[in-house]
Amino acid sequence: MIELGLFVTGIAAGTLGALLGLGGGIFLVPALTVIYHLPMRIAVGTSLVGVIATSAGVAAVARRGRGADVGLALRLEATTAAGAILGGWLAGLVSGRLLSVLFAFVTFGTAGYLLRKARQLDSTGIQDSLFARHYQISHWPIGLAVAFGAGMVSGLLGVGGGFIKVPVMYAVMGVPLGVATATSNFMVGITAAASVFVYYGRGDLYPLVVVPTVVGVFLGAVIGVYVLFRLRAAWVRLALTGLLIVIGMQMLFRGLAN
Amino acid sequence: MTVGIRGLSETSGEDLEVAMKRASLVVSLAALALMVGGLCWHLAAQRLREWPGDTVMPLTGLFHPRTTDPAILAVSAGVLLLGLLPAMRVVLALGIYAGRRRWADVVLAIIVVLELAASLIGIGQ
Repeated sequence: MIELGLFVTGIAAGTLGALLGLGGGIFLVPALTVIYHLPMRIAVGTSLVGVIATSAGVAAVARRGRGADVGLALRLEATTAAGAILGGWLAGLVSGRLLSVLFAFVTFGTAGYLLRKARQLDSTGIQDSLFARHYQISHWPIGLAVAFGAGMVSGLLGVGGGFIKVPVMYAVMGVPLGVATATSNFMVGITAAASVFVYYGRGDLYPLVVVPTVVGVFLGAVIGVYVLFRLRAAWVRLALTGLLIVIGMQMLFRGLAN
Repeated sequence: MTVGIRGLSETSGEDLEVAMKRASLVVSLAALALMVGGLCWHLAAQRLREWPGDTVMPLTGLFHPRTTDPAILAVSAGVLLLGLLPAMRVVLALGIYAGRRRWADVVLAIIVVLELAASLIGIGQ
């Protein structure tokens, strides 16, 4: 019975992860710890395999021209890794709380920028499409700086910074939202793969937990891709804005709390 | 050659997309089949202990298949195969970029592969 619950949880996390480009870990970890009372290490390890499954599911069923922009993903990923190395090195020298508060404001700023862009699009009457075969990527320095900052936060605080990359790719760099989510899913797969073997080696992965969850996540990711093809960009944008505000508040409280 | 899609030429962009899709589909389905098959075998053999049961097999066990439980071995192989997929995709991109002589992208792909390789050291720790 628990296995069936894990399978359903996996479907939900995979669908949302594929839709928003977050891999699904942000939904899986709380679900596994709160609903199934699993220790944090098992929940995180299982969630990392789930994130890779989302990334694989999205790539496996993406239609032509609707997959990840691999060139962009590699540039952002390399920059994020550099930020994470610096973040790890700075740990102890820089206040994690201060950085948490600063990053919360970056998150709020990005949410505000998304809302402004939505208002601009509404006023001009331009239809925002989720996918485009031809697009020009702009504002590389800002995009790379945010990726570096996200990596630093990740290295300093152990929080994944993936949630900020989709809105930045879309709102700042001019990448269509559907392509941005697919690209983000490609990147979170790499980030998860960089940690999953540590959890494997420590024996934090349990077949009874991992298999039903991951099969559900893969199926959910496939569903998410098909749902995304039928969604309007405005709905995905709204969901992302809401998520950014929630995560920003979480980071702000984390930074301000003793 | 029309340049424009995602900074790549039409042909190499499509090559990469098709290769990524094929690799992701084949590897993830093989990994899921191993995981599901192994779990079913494990359940059928009624080797279950108290929730959450046994852990995956340590890497050393994978190299001594005669002394290990084949059901857990299959699940472990599936998890490892899925875990290696992101690295496989980056290596695939590296190969395609190298073939197209896009050296900046080759260097970036190498950086990401090195990042992943560095994390593999974690297994031995």
